[in-house]
Order: sequence, then structure tokens, then C-alpha cells
Amino acid sequence: MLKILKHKFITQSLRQKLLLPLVFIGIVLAAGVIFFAHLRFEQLLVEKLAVRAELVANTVNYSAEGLSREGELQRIVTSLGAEKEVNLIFVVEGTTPERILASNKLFFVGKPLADLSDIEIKSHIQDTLGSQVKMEYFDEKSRNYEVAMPLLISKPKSQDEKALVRAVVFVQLDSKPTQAEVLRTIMQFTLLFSILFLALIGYSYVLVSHFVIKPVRKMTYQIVEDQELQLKKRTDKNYDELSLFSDTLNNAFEVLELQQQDLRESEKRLRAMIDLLPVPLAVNDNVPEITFLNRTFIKTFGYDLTDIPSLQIWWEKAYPDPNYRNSVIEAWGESLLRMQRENTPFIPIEVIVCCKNGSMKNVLASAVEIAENINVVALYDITEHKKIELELARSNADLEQFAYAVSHDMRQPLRMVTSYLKLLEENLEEQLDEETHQFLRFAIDGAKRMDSMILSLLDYSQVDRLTLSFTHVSTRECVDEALLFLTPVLKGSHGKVEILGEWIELFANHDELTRLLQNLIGNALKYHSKNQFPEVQVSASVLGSMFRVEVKDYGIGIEPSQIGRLFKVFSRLQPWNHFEGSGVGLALCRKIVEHHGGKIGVTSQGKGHGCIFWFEIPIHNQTVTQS
Amino acid sequence: MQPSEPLRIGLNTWATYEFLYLADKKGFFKDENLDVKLIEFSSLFDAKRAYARGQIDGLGTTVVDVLQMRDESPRSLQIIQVIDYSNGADMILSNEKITNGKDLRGKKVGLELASLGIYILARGFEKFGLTLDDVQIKTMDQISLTTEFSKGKFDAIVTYAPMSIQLQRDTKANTLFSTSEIPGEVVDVLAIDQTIIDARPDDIEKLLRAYYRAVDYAQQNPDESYALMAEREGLTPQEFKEAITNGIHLVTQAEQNDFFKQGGKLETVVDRANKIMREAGQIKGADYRAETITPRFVK
Repeated sequence: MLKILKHKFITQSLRQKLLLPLVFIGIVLAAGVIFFAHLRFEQLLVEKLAVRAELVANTVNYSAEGLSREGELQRIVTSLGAEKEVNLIFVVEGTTPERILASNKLFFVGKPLADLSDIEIKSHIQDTLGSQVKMEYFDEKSRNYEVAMPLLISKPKSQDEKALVRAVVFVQLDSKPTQAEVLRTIMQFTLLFSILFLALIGYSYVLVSHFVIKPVRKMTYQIVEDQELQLKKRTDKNYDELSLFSDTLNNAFEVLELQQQDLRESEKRLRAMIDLLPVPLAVNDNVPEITFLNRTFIKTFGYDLTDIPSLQIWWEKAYPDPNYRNSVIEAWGESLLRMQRENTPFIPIEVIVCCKNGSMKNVLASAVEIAENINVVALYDITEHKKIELELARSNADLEQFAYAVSHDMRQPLRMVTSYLKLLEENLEEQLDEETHQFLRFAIDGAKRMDSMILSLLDYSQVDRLTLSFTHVSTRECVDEALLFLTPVLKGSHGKVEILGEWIELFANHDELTRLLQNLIGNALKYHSKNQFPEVQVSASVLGSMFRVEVKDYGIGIEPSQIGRLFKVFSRLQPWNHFEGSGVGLALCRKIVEHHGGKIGVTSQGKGHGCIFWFEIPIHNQTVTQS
Repeated sequence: MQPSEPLRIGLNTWATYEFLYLADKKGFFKDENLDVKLIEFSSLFDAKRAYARGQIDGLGTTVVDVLQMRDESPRSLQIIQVIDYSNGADMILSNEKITNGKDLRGKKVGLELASLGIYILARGFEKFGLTLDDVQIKTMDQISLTTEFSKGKFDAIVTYAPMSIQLQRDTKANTLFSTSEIPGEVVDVLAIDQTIIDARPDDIEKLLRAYYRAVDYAQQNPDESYALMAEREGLTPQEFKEAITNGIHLVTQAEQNDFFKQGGKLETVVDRANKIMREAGQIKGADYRAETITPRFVK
């Protein structure tokens, strides 16, 4: 039973737990007040009664001496006897035998004192008669208050003489009316204090409830909300507000601890991962201190954490030349800022790093922010890459140079061949037969073809050299210009070209673009079957960041297996006698498209089904490397 | 007014008032659950004063005095029951030297400080052919009157039983005039204050029930009752019996209606008393005759 009660108490809210002791205190205080009141009651009662009894006795006393007739004393006594609290009044003469002179009970008037049945009263009166001292008595049982007071009575001795006789006035007061009065006073006092106590208790309760319990509650729910916890209520333990709060706090700490553990694990994994990656990686914070270097970094550059503890020291060691260092720091800072501000990936920077052993390496530096103010820096060693690039560039340059030279120089002897063949034809015109004429014509044709091929080669080799810059170009203008150049072809083939779609403005090379379109449309017009007038549709569209053009024809089509050969130099799928061409055109197109950083391709359903040549070039063409 | 407070009735020494004391002594008030405090006064005057002061709620008194009370106090005293009428119990006693009322001229006459005395004197003097101015009137309380008369300080006094009986027994006094010559004129009543009647009518009913019970009891147990009652009065049981049978006519419950009805005996008494008192200059104020009788407690 006690256990149940205890359990019930423990599981109460703090408010109830507070209330109980408060109420208990209240009860104790109230009991104290009541006890005190009770004591005071007795005191007050006796005090008041004493005063009243004395007043009555004194009244008799004061008047007794001045009275001339017995009847007058009796009248006073009966009048006093009419007072609410007065039970008995006796005025007793001190003669022998003692005689009752006056009383509010008329029966006793004139009788001897001995006739009184109440022994106690008799003895009180006799005592006072004897001692002549005022005496007061409070009867606990009957709660009556008695006073016996000595006085002098004026009695006529003879006709005109009066004598003062010793007497006693005895007054008995009924305390009931006074009790009621005193009780009222005490009750008021008790009530006032009770109200005060109640108010105090109530106020304390409200104070604690408002300033302690409520904030604690609030804190608890705040933590639950912030940490997204489940509010746990353990029924076997107390769950008043404070325990709930501490439980919640414990929960929150547990969760936090787990989270921290996860974080530590995650960090460990990250470190392991970074360490093993075959890219040189460094981690720095915003101090800026270098907090981690992976194995590859150390192997590649030779520096470890003791060599480069801070970013400052890294700058100094990796870029010994102060001017170069400053430009690197500036570029690095700029890229970082742009990344942070625009929330875009870090734009890599090409730099030359001085390794520990003094050797220089070409490096592509990139960074990513993996946490607040913590960057992971990747330094790709592109030294080899750079070497190859250089080789390639040199080789390309050589090749171009060669192509130019050869083609340029080769034209001269060819011109000679062509012109002398022509002369021959002219001179021997009458002497040669038709077949021989044809032989000559074939020879001249061949030479012309060769010249054309050399020209195309010349063209092809010049593409990179001559055209370097991009400008704002209207693609519509390009296609119109291309058509203009193709006017003779159009007329000759009775072909129709339809221009469709969205021809935008973009950043490109005007001449090259025109050339590209010219070649593609030209091809489309050229490769048609004999009984067909060529129909070409040129449509442009914007696909994301790319500008796409499709050149569709209904011509002879391309065998899908042959598509791979198409874009190679001098590669032709059709013989010279069917279609003229040096076989360089599409290669040139590819070069132009690649120069713009785009793609080119073709689709065909097969022979006789026409084909669609397409290319895509970026709209905003930017240089990819900066150094 | 709390019901726990006792009903305070003031009584001077008059034989028929003893029935109330009997009721108290026999516990008839207690049986009715009524707390009654009977307060003793040595004279009617003191009782009246006590009422005027507010010390008591009601008293046994004469009709004459009820009228006069209205002149003296703002409190409204109401006659609720008739107890008796004096039939010789009130008298003018003279010393042995004076045998005739006419002889009182110029003599010292003692009166209680109550109006009844004036009334009796006035009525008596009518018979004697005297006026109140023909004598030396001195007033004092009843007890003093009695003692002074015994000492010979007065030639005559107006007195009543039991003092009269004592005096007649102890001295050679002559009865010059008594209410036996004016029966039904001096009526003793139980009078209660108006506010008490309004606040505690049930208690008044209880009071009257206990009173009549005492009267019945005395009739059934005369010896015991008279012994108790006589002792208080300072008489022998025989003298007491004499007093209430001969000098006083006790009015029964059945006879109440005769008094209280419209145009009944009470009204007559009130009118006559009013006339005489006004003539004697004892009542001077407004006419309250109509407001002195409360018949509601009459069965």
C-alpha cells in the first residue's frame, strides 16, 4: 500500500510535489496558529471577564457608601443583575452571623450567608470578608468568572447617624456572552492569518510554477525539438518536470555522442581514402594551416607536414620566385573567392611547382571545400602531360608547315604540267585522233584534280594558323553567305535549300563557320541521284549550351559501315567519275568543328535514303586553360 | 439576533409572576428548548427602566405602565397575554392611626416610582373625595417604601402583595382602598418588545406554552407548587395561596379571547387607563393606544 502511494507520489508532476509540502507547511502553520489562538482565547476571555466583573463590583462599591436606604442598594444590584453576563450578585454584611444585604436573586435578600447552598461561593465570600482583600476566581469547568471585593456599606445606626459597615460584594459572571465575543475576535485573527498563509502558499506555488517549472518544461521541449528526440517517459522512474528535463538532456548528450562518434569514423574513412588516392592531395583549414598531406603528395613533391606545416611556407617553397609566387597566390585567391561566392566548382589553375629536390613540375591545381573553412587541394602532376602537349604542338606545327610548303611548292610544277599539256593539245589539235585527244584531256583533268587536292590541302593546313580569334557571329549571316557562294552549284543542280530553325548569335569564327556550312550544304547538293533534283533542309536549334545544325538531304545516302571513313583526309566514298571532290571537304569540316570545341557527325539509313549531317558547337566558347 | 441568545424577561415581585419561575424551576422552558433568563427586579419601576435601557426583551407589567412606557421610550412594548387582574391585591395601606381615606389630607403618602401607584391613588382618592394635590407624595422603590412605612415615615403607601401581606402581618396597617373595589381595572400582562416578537415568534409561543404548563401543573400539584412559589415571595404557602386566590384573579387561557378581541376588555382597560393617566398628567405624549395590543398569540 505504502509502495503504491510512494509510486503515485513520485510520478506526480513537480507542481504536485511542490504543492504537497506547501500544503503540509500550511497545515503545520495553521495548527500553530490555532494552538496559539486557543491559548490567547483563554487569556483574552479571562482578561475581559476580569474587567467586567471588576466594573460591576466597583459600581456596587462606589454607590454602597453613599446610599441612605437599603432599598436603594437592592435596586442597584437588581439593575446590575439585569446585565447580560451577570449570574449572581451578593452583597454580604460582615456581621455575625453574616447576612445577605442585597442580591439579584431576591429570594436570598435578608437571609444568612449560611443559607447559600453553593459551598464554594460561600467560602469565597467568607475568605474575602476575613482578609478584606479582593479575590478573583475562574472556574474552568463552568467557565464562570467570580470576583469578591471588600467594601463599606453605609448603614443607618440611629435616626440620623450612619455607620460604615464592612461588607463584601460577590459577582459571578457567565462567560458565555464574553466567550462569543472573544471567539469572534480570535476567529477574525485566525481567518486573517489563514488567508495570509493561503495567499503566501498560493503565491509561492505560482512563483515556482512560473519561474521554475515552466522554464524547465520549455527547455526540455526546446531540446527535444532541436535534437529531434523522442520524448521519453520512463514509467518506472519519476517523471516530474526536472527528471524529464534531465532525462531529455541525457538523451540529447547520448545522441550527440553517437553523432560525434559517427563524425570521427567518417573523418577516419575520409583520411584513409584521401591517403590512398593516386592524386596528390592536401587538406588545409582557414588559419591557414596544412592539416594533412596524402602519400601521393609526399611522393610526388617530396614535402611532408614537417616541411610545410602552414600554407605560407608552402607558397615560399613551391614558388621560390617572389613575383611568380604573388601571381599564383592572386590567381588562387581569385578562384577560391569565385568558387565560394558563385557556388560554382573551382576553376583549375596551371602552375609550376618547385619540388623538395629542386626539380620543377607542371601542376594543375584544384580545390574543393569539404567542410566549413576546410579545403582539399588536388595538385595533378601534368609535367609529362605538358611535355606531350608540347611535342604534339610542335609536331602539328611541323606537319602544317610541311603541308603548306609541299602544297605551295608542289603547285608550281603542276602548273607547268597543266599548261604544257594544254599547249600540246593546242599544237597537235589536227594531228591527234579522238582517242588521243581524250588521253590528253584525261591527263589535264588529272593534273587539275591534283591541283585542286593540293589547294584543299593548303586550305586544310591553314585553318588553325590563319584563324585564331573568335568574335560575335550571326549564324544567319554565315548560312546566307554560304548559300551565296553556292549559287552556281544551286543553279547548276536545280537544287532547293530550305533554311529552318533558330539561327542565333554566338561566339565563333565567321569565316570558318561560313566555310563549314558551305561544305556541308555543298555536299548535300552534290551527292544526289541522277534523276533527282537535290532538296536540302538546313535546320538550326539550341540544345542547352550547344548550337546544333542539321543538314538533311534526300540524296544517295551513306552505307552506315562507311561512316567511319568519311571524315578522314582524302577519303572518298564515291569515285571521281561520279562525283567530283578531293575528299578533303569533310575533314576540313571536322577540323573547323573541333576548333570550335564541338562535335560533328552523320546519320544515314543507308544507300538511297539520304543522310543528315549534323554538328554542335558551344554557344559560349571560352578558353579552357589559363596560365 | 442569534437563536442561542436567551429570552430575557424582567419580573418584579408579584404573585402570579411566580408561575414563570415555576416553569423555569420545573424545566418546562428547557423542555421547549427555550433559553429563558428571568431577571429579578425589586420594583416594577426598575423593570421598566431595564426595558427602556434595552437590558430585557420583555417584562410582566400592568396595562397602565405599558401605556406610560410608550411615553418614555422609543421601544414598542406589546401586550401579548393577560396574566391576571388585581382584585384586592393592590391597596392603599395606612398606619393604624388613619382609618379613613379622608383623613389622608395633608399627610405623607408613599408611592412606588411606577404609574400603577398613581392610578390606584387616583382611583382611591376619587372615592375619598381627594385630589393628588391634597397630600404630600413621595416616591421611592418598593422595598424602601415598605421599610420606611414600617418605620413610620409614611402615613400611607400604595403597595401590593406580597409586601402588603407582609406589612399586614407584621404591622397594624389599615387598608383604606384596594382593587377589590375596582375589579378588572388593574390588569397584569406579559408584554414583549415588538422587535423580539418579529424576530422570534416561535420562542414567544414556547414561552407561553411553558407558562400554561406551569399553571396546569400548579393546579394538579398545588402543595408542591405553592411551596416553591411561596418561598421565593417570602410568604408561607398558605399566604401565597390566599394571595392568588383572593386578591388576584388569574386569567386562564380560555378567557384570553375576551380580553383580546376587538372591543374586548383590554381595549376598555387601555382607554380608561389612558384617560386617567392623562388627567393625572402622567402621560403627555402621542396616543399609542392602538399600538399596544398584539393578539396573535391568543388561541
